Amino acid sequence: MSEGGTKLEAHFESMERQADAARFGMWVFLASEALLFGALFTLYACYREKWPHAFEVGVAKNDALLGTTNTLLLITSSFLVVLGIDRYRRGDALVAARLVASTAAIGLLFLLIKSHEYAMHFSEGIFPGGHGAYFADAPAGSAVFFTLYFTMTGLHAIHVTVGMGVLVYSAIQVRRRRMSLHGLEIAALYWHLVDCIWIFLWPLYYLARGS
Amino acid sequence: MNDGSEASTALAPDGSPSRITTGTHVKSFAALIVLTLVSFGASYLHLGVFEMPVALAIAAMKVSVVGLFFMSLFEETSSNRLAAVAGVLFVLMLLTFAVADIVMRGR
Repeated sequence: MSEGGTKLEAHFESMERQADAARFGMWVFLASEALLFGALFTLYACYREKWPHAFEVGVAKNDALLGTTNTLLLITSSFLVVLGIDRYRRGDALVAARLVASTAAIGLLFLLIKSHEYAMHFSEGIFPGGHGAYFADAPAGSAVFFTLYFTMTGLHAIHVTVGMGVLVYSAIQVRRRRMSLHGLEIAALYWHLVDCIWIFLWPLYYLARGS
Repeated sequence: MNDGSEASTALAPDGSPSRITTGTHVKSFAALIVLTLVSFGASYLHLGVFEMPVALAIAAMKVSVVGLFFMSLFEETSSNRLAAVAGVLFVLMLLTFAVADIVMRGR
């Protein structure tokens, strides 16, 4: 027995049970991802408590317009992938595949903007680990701020890259009708998590400049 | 744009219906865009000590919208909801106790 290219494994009673188990597995994985980033958000909170001025100066150094553009891009991409699921649910594989591929394309645009931001930091002498000319006159704690910034946004960018790979694969499989709806929904769950993490990274690194 | 009313009756290739319609997804998207613009605007109001709580409260609202309607927690099974809630709860515990430790040191 198979459905949308997914075979029923011997240890499951039905496709429904198998799909439920896969979905539950994804949710547990997402919870573990939340804890991975949660540890870094905790570091941010503790270091900001210790060096509030350095963090405010560091946030002001980031380009809020670029960060906001990236936020709008990721939200739009999450919307497109749910539209893709809606279309696939109605049997429209072609439009669904295009919507899922568009989601991955927006992910690429996000990474290009993030790369541009990193390039701007490097040109200003801001490198991870407190290396670079910027830190000679920067307030104490600036090295910690920017190291954490590169770590958290870099780890997030890796997640975006993995998510894009999953979405491109999903788009191809959906176009061939070789992926079940549950499979596409699980792939989309991962992308939404990437969106959720950025929704918190954005105010912490682009908006909270202090008074 | 479909109004989404048919989504509740449309069956998936593998037979699963959804109670979350396309119309709900469009409204959720609109809410996320509005909340993003509100958060961006609020960052220029110089809210002082309220700056971070306001920004984080709006972020929490946005993540709730994504979770409930894009990730379908609204109609998810209780075991999947439990995994999601446990993840959030554990992160909050980690944050609360670690920050409380830093703030209370030396008192």
